[in-house]
Amino acid sequence: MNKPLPQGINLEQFNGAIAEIIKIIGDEFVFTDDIKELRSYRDPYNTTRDEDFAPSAAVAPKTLEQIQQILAVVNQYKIPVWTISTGKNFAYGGAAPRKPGYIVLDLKRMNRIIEVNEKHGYAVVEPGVSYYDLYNYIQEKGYKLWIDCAAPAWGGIVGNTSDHGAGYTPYGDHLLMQCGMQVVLADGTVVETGVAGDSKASSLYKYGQGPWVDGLFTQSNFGVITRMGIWLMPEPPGYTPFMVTLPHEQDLELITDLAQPLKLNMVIPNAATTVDLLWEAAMSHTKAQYYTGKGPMPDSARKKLGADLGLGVWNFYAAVYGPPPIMKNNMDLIRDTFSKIPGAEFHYDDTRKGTPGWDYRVELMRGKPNMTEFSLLNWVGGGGHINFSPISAVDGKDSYRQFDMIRKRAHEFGFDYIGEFLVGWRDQHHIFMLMFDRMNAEEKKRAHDLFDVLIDDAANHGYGEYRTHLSFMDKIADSYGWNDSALLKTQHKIKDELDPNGILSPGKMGIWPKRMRDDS
Amino acid sequence: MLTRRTFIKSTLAANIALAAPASLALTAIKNTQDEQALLIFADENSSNASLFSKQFSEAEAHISLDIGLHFDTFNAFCRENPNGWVSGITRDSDFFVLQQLASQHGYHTAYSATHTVSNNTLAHQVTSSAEKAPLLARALGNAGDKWPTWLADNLATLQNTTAADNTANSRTQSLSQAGDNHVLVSWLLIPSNSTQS
Repeated sequence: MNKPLPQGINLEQFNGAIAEIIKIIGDEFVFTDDIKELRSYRDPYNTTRDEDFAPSAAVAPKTLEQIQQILAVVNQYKIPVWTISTGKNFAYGGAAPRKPGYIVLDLKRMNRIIEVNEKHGYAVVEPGVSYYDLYNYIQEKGYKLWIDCAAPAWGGIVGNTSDHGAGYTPYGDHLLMQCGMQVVLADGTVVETGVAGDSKASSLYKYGQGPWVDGLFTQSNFGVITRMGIWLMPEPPGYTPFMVTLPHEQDLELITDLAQPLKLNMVIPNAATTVDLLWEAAMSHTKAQYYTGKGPMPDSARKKLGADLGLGVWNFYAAVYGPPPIMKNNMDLIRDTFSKIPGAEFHYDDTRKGTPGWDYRVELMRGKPNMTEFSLLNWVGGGGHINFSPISAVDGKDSYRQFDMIRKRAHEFGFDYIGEFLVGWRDQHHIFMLMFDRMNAEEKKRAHDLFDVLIDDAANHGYGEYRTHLSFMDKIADSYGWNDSALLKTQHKIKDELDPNGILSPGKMGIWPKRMRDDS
Repeated sequence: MLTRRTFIKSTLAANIALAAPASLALTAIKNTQDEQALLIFADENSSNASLFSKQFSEAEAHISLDIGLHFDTFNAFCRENPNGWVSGITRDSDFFVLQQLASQHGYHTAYSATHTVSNNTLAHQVTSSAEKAPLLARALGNAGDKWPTWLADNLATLQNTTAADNTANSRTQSLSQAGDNHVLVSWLLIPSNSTQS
């Protein structure tokens, strides 16, 4: 097998760069063997050819100084590096780079929890710290703080936050809870944001003086984040999770409109979810138990599945937190509101505990990491998936329009609609989990084609996606093309200024360095 | 050459005994002896997985559904046993997660196979080396409904020095109905620096 090399780099140059990086971090942390060492830097869920995202090497520095030295080397050779933290961004590309031949800059060895401040409710972590790591640390220390984790929770805090990930507690908007960061620019310059000279205030006050630049380093390739502050929620005196099952498809519109003022006014403080039947069922069951035919599951089978498992066509999860009188007050209001929906049923721990779908949501809404959501991958055999994730207002008509649009297309291409709406403060993320058999080439291609069409459909309805798989970053960047792509052109100007050799994650979210722009 | 006997006669290094709901739980059994350390995962909800795990130890420990609860066990095993093997019969999602974790410890997938039952037909799709894949697929087919026992008996023969990437299939009549999870995966993860054969 030929070694995938970066565009314009020959093997001699590549070997020269690798030899220099070995001098910096040691042979043990430079990985070049495609079979033994680099398989974990491929994307197991890609919908095209495996080699489309094959790195040439991976390097794992331990310190900021080592990153600076590595960047000096790759600047000299003009070899692109693709930065990852823990590399668990599955469904969006995992640890794999945007183009073959890049060197993966793997920061998982930078895994220090630098500080947890119980009084002020924050942590400062390096990129290799996973949600499990921080949770376990807080438990060991006995701090009365909650984290907010992604599902599944094996990913890293820095990586998820910088990719605009979301969780399920009241601190579910991860970037909103980010405060202060340290970044290494392509030329090795180290930048720290926040408040000058005061590490504590830097984790409490985002803006310092002048333009707030932290966002520039998220979903981008303008620098390498090496440290980040994240706010942590004080452990509340009480927690009441609940679920509302809804019997009809059209109830999606109602529940969204009824939830919107409750969310906006923080009666429901956490990131609520409206989850479809199949997502819920897939936690404990497989499709073949109810339907062995080809194509999407028919309504008759769906009805039986819902009845057997006591699930609604939609299932709304949320929680209230605080002293019991406040929780009671808010729950009364929530019950009154949602009881207006005919057939809506409330569920709590007493009736749902022990049900996998309920149990893992209850944990997530109180920031306890788990991996249960991976059970979805057993819905069909060979569980590959990529996520199509358009944003909308918390508005019933938008919810139903997106659901209807995606479901029709999914069925047209022979896939089930498996989705959830993550209801934020004012917006909602719609996650369509496009499941396919990753061992089936025809099915992978069909999934790819469906995703491609969905981007166009969404754009035609005025919806943009918040995050996407490597394969579709350029296309989605193009869908943000208002005013002759002024936004992307601005991003490119910044890229050219901060990274003139184009070494940092070329192509991330459609942002390419000048020398690769014409070929991208 | 490693044999099943060397695994079975080994002393039980540690039992993991965490209370767990019966449904969808995993069974993990850890055997260690002089030559080889072995960590076995089995989906407790699957009779085939239970049959497999029973071949290695009389002791069983129940660990709850969420594969995340196994991370500490898995990572500790890999750290403490640089030449250890990890094998199991699990749901595909659990295998995927363990496979990713294993790669961080320098492990590769020496063998994996999906096992499905449909209309009284048991199908195995084996991924292994070019030489071994068809042999293993045929052997599993010949073993009929006792295929988990055959796998346990022949665990040592499943290893490959590099990642498995060739597939072969076999089909056979089965008396059993479709299992709880329908698609089960059997697998073997070994360190890439393993020199045993």
